Amino acid sequence: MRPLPRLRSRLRGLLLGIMLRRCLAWLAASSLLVAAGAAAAALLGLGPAFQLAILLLALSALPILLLWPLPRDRIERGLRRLDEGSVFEALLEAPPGPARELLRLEARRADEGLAFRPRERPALGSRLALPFAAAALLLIAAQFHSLAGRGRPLFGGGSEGATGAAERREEGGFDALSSLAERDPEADRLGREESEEADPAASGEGGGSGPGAGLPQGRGRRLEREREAGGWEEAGAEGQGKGGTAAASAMPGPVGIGGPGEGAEPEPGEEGGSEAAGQADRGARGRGYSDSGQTAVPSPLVDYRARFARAYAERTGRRVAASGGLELGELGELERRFFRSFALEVELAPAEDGFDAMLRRRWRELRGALR
Amino acid sequence: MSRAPLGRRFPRAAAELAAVLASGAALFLAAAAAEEALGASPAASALLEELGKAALILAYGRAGGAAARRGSARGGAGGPRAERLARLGGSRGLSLGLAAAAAFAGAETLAYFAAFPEAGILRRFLWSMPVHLDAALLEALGCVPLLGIALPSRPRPPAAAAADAMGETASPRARLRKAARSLARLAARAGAFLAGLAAGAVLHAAANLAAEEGLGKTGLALGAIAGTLCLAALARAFIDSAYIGGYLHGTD
Repeated sequence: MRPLPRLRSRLRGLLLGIMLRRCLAWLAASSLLVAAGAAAAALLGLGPAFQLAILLLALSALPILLLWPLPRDRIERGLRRLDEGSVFEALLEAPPGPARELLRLEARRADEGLAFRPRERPALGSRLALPFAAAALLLIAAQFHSLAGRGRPLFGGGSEGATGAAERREEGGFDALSSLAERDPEADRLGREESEEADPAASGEGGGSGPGAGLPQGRGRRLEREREAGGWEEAGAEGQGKGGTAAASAMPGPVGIGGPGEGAEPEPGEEGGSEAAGQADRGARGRGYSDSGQTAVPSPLVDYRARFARAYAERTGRRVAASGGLELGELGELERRFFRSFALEVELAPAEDGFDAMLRRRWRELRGALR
Repeated sequence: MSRAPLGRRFPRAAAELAAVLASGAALFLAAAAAEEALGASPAASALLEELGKAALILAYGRAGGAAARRGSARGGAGGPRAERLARLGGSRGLSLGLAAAAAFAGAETLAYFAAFPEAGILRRFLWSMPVHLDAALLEALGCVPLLGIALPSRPRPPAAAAADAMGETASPRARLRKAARSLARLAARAGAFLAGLAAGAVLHAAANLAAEEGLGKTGLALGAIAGTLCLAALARAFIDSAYIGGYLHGTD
């Protein structure tokens, strides 16, 4: 057993109290630092990586602070507070000899007497209250600023880019839905007839102007770009004169969408169109095993899965994207919720449709006439 | 004992902090370069890093003890007090070495963050920092006897002490016995240092291999908790051994 166990225990408590004070000082300083970093990030629009770097710096400083040398004078002052008769200090300074043995006995007795003295509570220091209060005020101010300015909390609100993109997508979806709801079917039909009269090539009848003819404008441009990039030369050149729709029909569903009158499908009697479509199909899918790596037809299922995975990762964070731990049933449920029709759940404001009103009036008039 | 004024203490503390941070970062850069040049495995890189950290801790401990001895000589202190101040100087140096090892671990974490700026770095920090500090504390505990801070002293026989006090010339056999005792003490000190180094390297290598095998979130969390508890126990042992043992040395 080590000598003077109670004195050692008291000194240990003293040194651990110093370390506790350091911990509190670190907590106050790092709170201030993290709050200042969050405020700076909110003001300057910096990303979460900046806040994470600040947090890492603060965390890395803790072990350095805790392991920093303990002050020698604190040990000496603590020893003198405990050493009423200066017995311990006399023992430490005594040269070897009979006097030292006597002092050792006295020191043991004084050490046993320490059991009856109350322990000193470590002074935690009221000076730390100021940094704590400053950090709390700064955090509150930054939180208000973030909620008012960016509409999301300071921490854990996700990246601004992903949130903004999601909001833009949602707003775009609602815009499309509202425009769909506000669209007049009669006006649509009239507009379509006018455009067909003005541009017969767009209807797919006769010689088309290119592989993208008859498709919506954006898709047409995309097909033009893909044709220029290569791989469609043969099919496009042959299909141009006869059907003009071969390349479009070679595209999978979402791209080659459209009715017969719009040029997405060749007419049953058009041989050139179907032949060109077959060649385009061969060109797109490659010619046997050697071209299997160049098959250009994307799978719609893969596309939907990829879109879902991207949206899920953007909304839930990177940790989910990297885990791959979703079960099959859970994945199916999430996909169903993601792709289900929002139009079925949106309650549209009751609007009086002119065509319906006219029909109701005619029906009422007819019933009245029958009576 | 009078305490130096804050104006004099602050530049010294700032210089020490700069030296600690610089030496920790330099050790990290040197270890990373050596590991890349050698293509070291996880276990070998752990041994390499621990060798560097142990050397750094030992160098700081020796420098602290030497500085304290110089200060005592300048102040005219002698006898048991000068010895006690030298021992506490060694403890202070060991603490600076431990802080340099913490700076090494911090530099490694920041380097990982520069490569992968994502929130997963926090999990890595909670796993790796206790491992680094546990290994460093084991090495520092091994340095304590090597620097003569807290060796368990054995009371000498009264006849031998009286002979020493009177300056009598010892017989050749007694001289031989004394030389053998010194050699054994030196071997025990070196053995303690090597044991601390080996324990730190084994702990670090085991942690590296476990992390490479893939522990999962639960395993990492349990490892971080166990490492932190181990760190608390080792820090207490270091305070007992280096500071309190160094200060109260000779009371047994």
